[in-house]
Amino acid sequence: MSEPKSDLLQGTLDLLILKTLALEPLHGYGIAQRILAASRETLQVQQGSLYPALHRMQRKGLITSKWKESDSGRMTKIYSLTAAGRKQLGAELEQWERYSQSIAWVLQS
Amino acid sequence: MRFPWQKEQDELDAELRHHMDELVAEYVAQGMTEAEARRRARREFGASTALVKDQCQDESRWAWMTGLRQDVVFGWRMIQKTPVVSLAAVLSLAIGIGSNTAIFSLMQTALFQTIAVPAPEQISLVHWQVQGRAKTKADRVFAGASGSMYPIEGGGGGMVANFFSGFGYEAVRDAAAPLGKLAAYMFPQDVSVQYQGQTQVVQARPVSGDFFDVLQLRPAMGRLFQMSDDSPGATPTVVVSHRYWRTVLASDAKAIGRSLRISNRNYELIGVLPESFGGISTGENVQAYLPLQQDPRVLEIPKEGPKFHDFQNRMHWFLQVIARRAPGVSTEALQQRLESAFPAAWERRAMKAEFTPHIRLDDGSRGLGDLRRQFQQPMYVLLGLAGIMLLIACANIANLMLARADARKKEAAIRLSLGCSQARLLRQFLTESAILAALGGVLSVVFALGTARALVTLTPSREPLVLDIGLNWELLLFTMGATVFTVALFGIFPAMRATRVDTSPALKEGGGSAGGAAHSWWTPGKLLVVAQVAFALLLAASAALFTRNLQRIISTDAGFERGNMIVFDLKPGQTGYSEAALRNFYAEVQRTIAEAQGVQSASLAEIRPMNQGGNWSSVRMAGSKGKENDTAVNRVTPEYFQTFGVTLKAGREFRRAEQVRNATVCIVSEDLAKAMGEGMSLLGKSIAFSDPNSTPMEVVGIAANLNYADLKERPNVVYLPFTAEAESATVVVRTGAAPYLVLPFVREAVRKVDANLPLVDPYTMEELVNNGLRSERMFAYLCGAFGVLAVLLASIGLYGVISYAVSRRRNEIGIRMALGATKPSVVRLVLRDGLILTSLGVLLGAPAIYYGSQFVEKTLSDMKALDPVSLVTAALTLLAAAFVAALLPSLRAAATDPVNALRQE
Repeated sequence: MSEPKSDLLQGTLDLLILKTLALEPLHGYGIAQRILAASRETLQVQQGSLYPALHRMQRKGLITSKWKESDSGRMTKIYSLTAAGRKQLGAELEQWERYSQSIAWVLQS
Repeated sequence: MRFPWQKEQDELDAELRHHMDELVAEYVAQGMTEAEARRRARREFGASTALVKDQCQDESRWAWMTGLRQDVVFGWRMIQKTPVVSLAAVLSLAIGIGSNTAIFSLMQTALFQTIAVPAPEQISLVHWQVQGRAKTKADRVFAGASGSMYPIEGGGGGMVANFFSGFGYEAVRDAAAPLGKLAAYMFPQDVSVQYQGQTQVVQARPVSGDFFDVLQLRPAMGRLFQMSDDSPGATPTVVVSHRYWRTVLASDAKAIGRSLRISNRNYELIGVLPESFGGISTGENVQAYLPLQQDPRVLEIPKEGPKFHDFQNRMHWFLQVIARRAPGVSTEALQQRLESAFPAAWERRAMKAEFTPHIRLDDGSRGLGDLRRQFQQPMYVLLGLAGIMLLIACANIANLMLARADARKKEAAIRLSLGCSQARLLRQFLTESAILAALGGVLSVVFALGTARALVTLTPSREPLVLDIGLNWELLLFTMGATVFTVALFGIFPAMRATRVDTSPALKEGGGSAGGAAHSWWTPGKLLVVAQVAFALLLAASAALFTRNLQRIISTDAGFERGNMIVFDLKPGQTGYSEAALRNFYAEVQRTIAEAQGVQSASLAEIRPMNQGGNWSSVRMAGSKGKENDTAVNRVTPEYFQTFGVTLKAGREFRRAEQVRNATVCIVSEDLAKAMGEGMSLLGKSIAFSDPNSTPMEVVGIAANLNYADLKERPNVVYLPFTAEAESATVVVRTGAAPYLVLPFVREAVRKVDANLPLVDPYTMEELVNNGLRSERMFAYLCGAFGVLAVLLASIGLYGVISYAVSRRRNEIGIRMALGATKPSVVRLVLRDGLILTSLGVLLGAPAIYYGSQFVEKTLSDMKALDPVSLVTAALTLLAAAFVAALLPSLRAAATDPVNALRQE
């Protein structure tokens, strides 16, 4: 934990989870690892944020979960994207791009 | 078993454990030792595990459930803190809800239940109505009638009747197709039934051959009637109820085809009705059904005069008619169809249009309406009183919750200032109320079922009702509704009050004692108590009213001593006695009973005395066209007056030789003699019944006045000699000891004469009299119970409010005492509060009672409702109870130690 890790912007966690799960179904630990790796070790998702977010998104029907046997023979909970989640991902991506573009314009002006 | 939310929690545990293990594995892969890796992972993860779980649960679908569980656990803990108060609350709720449920369940069974036939909504009762009540025979289109006639609802002087002649029935029946099907029946009567040497008396209803077809009933066994069974020459057949088959026939399948000897004729048992079918009238106890043409009344050839139950006579109306409308046919359509065919069946037209009968169809889905008509309004009055009772109970619990809410103001303020939402807090308080209400609701069902069964025995009907009161969905729904209603009523207001807290002063204030904030004298609790007292006054006044009414009737002098008398019927004519044998039998049985141990005197009569019914006629001086006097009639043996313990005012008793059918002598009651304008001088003169054919009778005696049918009225009576050829007789016995001790000897005496003859409906005279007072008794008992409970609940409410006020005023009282107030003056101070509240309640309640009494007077006949004595009694009782309730806290207030009270601030 020596390298600087930035905190997640409020509201972006959902987007990152959706994006990650769009690639392939994963368990909770896997999601955190994948985000960490994809952000070049800069975004560490805290468990305290990850799991409530997963449960909230599941209740909203954006993702579903299944219990599967992992390679090591343990039962793990695998999350995957639903159709609604895929749609939400599209919408949020678009929104994010518009948002970051706006920020960029302001910062560059 | 795991609940869904528990399963979810398990899964969450597994998921988090997996995450942790993966983390450990990763650190190990980075080169840490296992122990080090685990420590590191736990440091990163561990402290927040519980928090994560919590947050995840908040996101869960079952979040509300977990929250509710917390609320319930917390609420239950709060309730346990004050077990006695909570128990009192639950019990008063149970009684409040329970009495409503009990009365509702009785209403449901007696008033709302449909009869157990397929598609009961198609059933109509065929009646007719006239605009006015015909005064003379010439105005009527019938000469004799058997059935009921009652005023049209809503007044107007019109009458509804349910009897038809044989021709009238056939005319409407034949006209009905294809809009509906009609069937006929008659009033049930008691018949003696002999089966395998055992004789029993059961109610038998004569019905037409297509009766069960119209009702669409299928037999449980054997077959039901066909048209061919209902013809004059057919083999007599009988169908019995399932209950009769189960009890008397001992569920014997071989009984079908056997013979039952009914009123001295053999009837072949052809079938058993389904178990669910309890008859076409709620609460009736009909065990056997006979074809109309095979009814003993129809078969019997009278010894004199024309037969009444004669299908060929257009003037004798004795059939009742029930209809099943074809699917989709309206009552109006069928009514018009029947109306068009009805007049053709009359022997003559009515003299005036207003006396012309018109067909009307009444709803028959709930069976015959006699019980309903009699029951409906008293039931609604009782339900109203029970509702008031529930309000009083609710007020008590609201008060309790208010006090609790006040005491917890500080807790609420802390929680609110720490960020708890008001809705969440409201839910917490409401959960507590709901727990109390739910406990009360569950208990109330137990209470209600017990009470309702007891109520059935108190119901106002002449014969005990056969009502099956049990748990069902509607009943539970009603209880739940009442429970939710009570929560809404007593829970929401205190909860709102508790959660709408201005946080800063509440936090500053001390632990509930009066601080700097000013308190107005009026608190919501006090307002509630005033309302409670007003309602309690209403219930207490009705309790006093109905109890006094019952007492007044019971203590009525019936003209004779009611203790130590037994009354029962003997029906030898129905078990095969010839006329000569009957004459012997009656003489013999009267003699053996009179000689039995413990018997002082025995006599026979045609009409059972004090049985709410009888024979009514009118008499005038023989040969004159003078005034007719309404009178009751009875036929009695010479010992009758001696048995009743009264002496003749003048003249003599009957002689044995005078016991013939066409009496030429009679004894009249003193009142009748006076009413005929004669008094004692009537002795030796002749009187005659108003019927032009009746023979004059010499008045040989004038008897003291005796009540005839009940305690409420004392009509004129004409006594005729008992006819020794009568089919049945009522035996009246005067005993020298308690009746139930003597009854076995009387039974033995009858057995000596005929071992096979049952004693029908043996009652003591007191029981007979009481049977006639069921309605009054039910009201007196129920209202008495309501009244006592209401006063008790109101006292508890007052006690609570005054105690609470005293605890809030501890400081003030302490200061007063420190400044020199004496103990009596403190007692007076507190007592005054209690008595002011009670007096206000009484003042508010009195006008309500005035209007209530007018309503009661309208709904319950023969009742003088506004009774100042009852009102004053009730008010005084309440004030006395209030005095006691306020005295306890006022004594406690007076015991306040001023130093302590002031130091506590």
